[in-house]
Order: sequence, then structure tokens, then C-alpha cells
Amino acid sequence: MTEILIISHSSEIAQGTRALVSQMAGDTIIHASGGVDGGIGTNIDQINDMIGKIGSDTICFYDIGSSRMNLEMAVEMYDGEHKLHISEAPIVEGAFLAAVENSVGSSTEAILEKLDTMKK
Amino acid sequence: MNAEKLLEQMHGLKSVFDEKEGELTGLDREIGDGDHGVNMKRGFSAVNEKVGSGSTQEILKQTGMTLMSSIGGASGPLYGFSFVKMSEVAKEEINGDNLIEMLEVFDRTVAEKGKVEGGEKTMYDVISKSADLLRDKGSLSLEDLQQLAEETKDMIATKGRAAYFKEKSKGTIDPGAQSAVYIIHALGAGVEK
Repeated sequence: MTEILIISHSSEIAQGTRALVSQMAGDTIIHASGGVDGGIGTNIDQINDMIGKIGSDTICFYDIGSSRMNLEMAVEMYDGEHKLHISEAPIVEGAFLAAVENSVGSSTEAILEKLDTMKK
Repeated sequence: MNAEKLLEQMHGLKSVFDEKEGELTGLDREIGDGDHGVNMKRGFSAVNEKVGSGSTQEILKQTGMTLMSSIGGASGPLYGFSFVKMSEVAKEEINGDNLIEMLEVFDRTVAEKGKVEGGEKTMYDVISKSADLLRDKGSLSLEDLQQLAEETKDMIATKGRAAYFKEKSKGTIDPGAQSAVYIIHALGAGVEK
């Protein structure tokens, strides 16, 4: 099973996306976090916290600007056993597609191929 | 430079950024969102508080991790991650050759993660020329580093917040280039090629 990680500048975007996606794919594990110190922003620590909790290969979605940079850095520093993939797909549509594909049994590779056709 | 001297330099950047907060804020108000002075001050206050003694590699890695978590925006993660990557090549006694190697890692990390090249009016314009400066001059003086920052004055920003100012970004030193001067100067203290 593939897990999903969502990092956004906004807590509401992160939690809202998770709620939306969970409605369709309740069995997919979704890690979501957004905002820093009650305001807007992203930070490497919150990404590291989420990455510390993953239990299988994970596809990561980000929103804008420095969230990608923080995500890349966190992924590069990860030395665990699972594979982390950064998707360039838009955060809502990408996470939605990945979760639904996962719930119908698609492999991580197959999901990534489908995501590659989506553009931000 | 040994671990003890390196720690002293990293801790010492707190007072540098305390002193330069106003200057960096002023530059960032001109062509950014005005928080660079506060950010750098917060980052190095945290370094001063949290980074303890250890090997040169440990000190650089701790400094990097601290900067990554305590400074928002792009500059904290870029400086922070660069310190983490530099820690991987640092020797226990940082001499001129080793510092050149570290500065090349600094250059590559910022280029790759910040997706930036020379001439875009960013911290990279100072970082990318510092290894050559050390090779040519044998040391990293504040005056020579400052000259690199001054060269960003006439550039038009194409990266970061300043890019929104387009032509209007001319005439002001890039705040990131200015903070890079202080960071690289601290890394180069007492190291000669």
C-alpha cells in the first residue's frame, strides 16, 4: 500500500485536502501538515515529523514556493527503509487521484505514472 | 580552524546579527518583505543557545538543523541545509583546502535547492564566488566579501521576493547577499590558503 504525504503553507489546506481525499479513499494512510506557529508557512521539522511516521512507500505533495524546497531537503535527509517520491501534481487533485488509485490496488509506480500526466 | 574555534565563530554570529539586524531589515524593506534581519537574528540566537561542543562535523550539522527549523522563508532552509551538507566534507582541522571544498558544497547546495544561478541578485552571488576568492587572495576578508555583495546592487532580481520589484530592485544590495558576507566571513576566520 502506498501512503500519501501532504505539506502545505496552510493548515486548512492540508487538513481540508486530507478530509476530501479520505471521503473517497478511507483506507489510504494520509499524513498532512500545514502552517507554522499558527500562521502561514512550512518548516522542515513538521515534514520530518510526518516522514518519521510513514510505514511504507510514500508519495508527497506540496503546494507552493518553499514547501517544495523544504520537502526536497527532508527527503534527501531521510535515511529510512521506505521510498519517498515527490509529485509535481497539484496538491488536491494529485492527492485525490493517488488515494483513489491506491484504494483500488494500483502500485506506487502505476500511481506515479498517472500523476506525471497532471500539471500544476 | 578546529572545532573549538568553529563553535566560537558560530556562536559569535549571534552578536554579528544582533548588530546587523537593522541593516538587513533596511535592505529587505527596500526589495523584500522586511523580515531578513529578524530572521537571521532569530536563527543565530537559536544556534548560540542550542549548538554545543562536538566535532567540526557535529557543530556544522547542528548549526544547519537549528537554522532550518528556526528561520522561515527560503533563506533559513537554504543556509541550514548548506551547513548540513558542508558538515559531510568538513575535516577536524579546517584548513584552506578543506574550506574551499566546503564552500564548493555550499555553492552546489544553494544552486540546486534554490534553483538559482549567478547574476540573479541573491545570496548565491556571494556564495558562488567565495571559493575562488579564497583561492586567489589566500583568505576571506570582510572587505573582499563585501565587494561581492556590492556587486548585487546593480543587478535586477529574478529570484525570490525581490523579483517582483523588477527594475526597482536595482540600487539596493540583496539582503541575502549581505547576510552571506557575515556567514562566510565567520567560516573563514583564521583560515588561510
